[in-house]
Amino acid sequence: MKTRFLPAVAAFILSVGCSSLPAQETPSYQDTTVDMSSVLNEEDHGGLRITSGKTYNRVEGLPVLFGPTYRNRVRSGEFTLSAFGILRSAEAFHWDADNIGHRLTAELRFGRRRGFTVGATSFDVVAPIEPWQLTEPDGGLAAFFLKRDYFDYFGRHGARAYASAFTAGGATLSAGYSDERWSSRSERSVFTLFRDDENWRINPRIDDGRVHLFDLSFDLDTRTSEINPWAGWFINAQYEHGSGDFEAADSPGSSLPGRRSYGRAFIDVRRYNRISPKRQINARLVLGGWLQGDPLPLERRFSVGGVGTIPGFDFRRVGIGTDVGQCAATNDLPGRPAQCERVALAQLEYRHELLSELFDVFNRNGIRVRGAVFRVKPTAVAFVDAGRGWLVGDRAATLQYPSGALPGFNTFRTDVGVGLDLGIAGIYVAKAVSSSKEPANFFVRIRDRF
Amino acid sequence: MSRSRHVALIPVLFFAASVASAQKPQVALVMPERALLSTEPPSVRSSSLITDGAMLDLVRNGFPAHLHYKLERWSTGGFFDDVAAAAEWDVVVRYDALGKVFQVYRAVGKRTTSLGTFPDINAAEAVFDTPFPAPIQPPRRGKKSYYNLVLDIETLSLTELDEVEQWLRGELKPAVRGKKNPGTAVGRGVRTVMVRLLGGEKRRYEARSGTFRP
Repeated sequence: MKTRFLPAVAAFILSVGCSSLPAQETPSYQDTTVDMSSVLNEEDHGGLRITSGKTYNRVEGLPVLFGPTYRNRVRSGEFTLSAFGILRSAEAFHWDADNIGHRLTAELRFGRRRGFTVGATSFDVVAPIEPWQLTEPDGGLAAFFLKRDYFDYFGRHGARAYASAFTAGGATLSAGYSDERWSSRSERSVFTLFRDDENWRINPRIDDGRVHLFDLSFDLDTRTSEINPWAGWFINAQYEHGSGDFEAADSPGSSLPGRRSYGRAFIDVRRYNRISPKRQINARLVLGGWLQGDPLPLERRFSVGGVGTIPGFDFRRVGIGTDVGQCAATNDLPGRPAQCERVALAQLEYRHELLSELFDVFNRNGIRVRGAVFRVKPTAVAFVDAGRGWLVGDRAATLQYPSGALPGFNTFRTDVGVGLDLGIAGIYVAKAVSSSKEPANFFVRIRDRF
Repeated sequence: MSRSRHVALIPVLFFAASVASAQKPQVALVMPERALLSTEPPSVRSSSLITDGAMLDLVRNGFPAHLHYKLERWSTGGFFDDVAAAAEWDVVVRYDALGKVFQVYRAVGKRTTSLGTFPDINAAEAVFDTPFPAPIQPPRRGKKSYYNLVLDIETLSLTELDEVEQWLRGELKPAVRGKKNPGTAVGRGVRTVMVRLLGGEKRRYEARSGTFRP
């Protein structure tokens, strides 16, 4: 509701700004009731906008999006048009083909609480390969401060047409068709606050090619809040059918070049449960992988392990038996890309809000950074994670399984951990259980783990 | 330090703590009397939400403050607690530079009401700090419940463009001209990026009632 309301409030302010109310000598409680429907119909036509793209990574640095937006009502629909140019901060904002891009979007939306949307977009962007693993602030800050980038990226250049239907209950069903060119992107010279003398992890090569995608997705979000939810469901289910011509990748052992057609599914289900005013138990299940057709291209494969999934194991860790993290059977490609054709991940978390009288000393005026105020709200967290990836085919040891089979649970990577979430950030320690010799990992998360 | 000095220090510290406490931004739920728990909603009371330095500066510079209240009534007693009712409303405070007055509006559902215009920010704050009966349905008699309030405060229209402009005008330009330390200007820009990534452009306050059975 809030996101829909905000533009209305902005429009309302503009409207009252034009017809200023008479100033009064003393505080007045004589109400002037305003018909909100007239406020909602006020026109906020957009304007010039600049935004950061909310990411920071070793391929782009900080992408800066700038350009005009336009919004208007067409009968019962709301029409939105935006034309953003993208300039990336890598190589000190050097003007070259890798540092510029665009995103143009035209969308028509009918209905407020429920309705449907149709739109089209043209884009030349850098996209993460597995965005489900980690939230963007966590990934961006790790890259900016510590030169640790927990995503791999590839270029997407093309156009997409889409339609979706949404309900007041937070459900959205979308379908789209796109024509895109996928390309490998290299890591570049990107500023970091620390470890500037170290090299970035290689951004792996992908299967370059031109693809046509049909995608279908279902989203349900009944969480009480997007950040720090106390209860509700979050479901993201996707199906993608891709077909295209892929070029021979330079990397040895990469997927086969040529014409390829595949089907891929992904589902991320989260349930948040409040069990008392201060305690909650949250659970997450992620399943994804190849469904039919040819093998998945590299940019559509999966992995587990690291801060975002099973933090008891280092990110892209190999050398601890069968590689059920990245599924690098014999091909340890540069940058250790995700190569699993299927993945399963389960996470369970218990959170207990602690007494904050002690921290209220710090909260009195808040912790201030650049005029922004942060407050400490301590919560103890305990969690367990289990997951693995595998290849699809004839059974081969514990790495490859037939399409209809699931690996045994004893082959999963598992960990346990505890943490203290202070509200603005949380510090955690996780210990691998399935590989007892792995040392414990300490890590920081800005947002909730999931 | 002598004992007498210690004794003298106590009232000073107590006074300082009182002053600090009085200026602390806070929001609270005021519950109705026990006999009225099933018929009357709680009231929301607040203090010093927009009168501190940073927020006041923004409001004075033409960025309206938007306060979004979300109150939930949770029912408890089963295995999991459930949201039994919820209400949302907004308060907007803007500064009319021409009239040099602060204007306050409250929007509940589709009704927006002017709460008045005021010559200074303290008077404007006082009007929405006054306990406001929340537009939420109280629980049925015998239903074990509690309330949870979340208040988000942000400055409307404070886009990154505004922030970048402020930075360019206020810090980077003098630094480029040699009138200010360039390192400081860049450092502040870096901190701005960090604050943005942390989501610091928004302030969040929470209040919760105790569990009760009307």
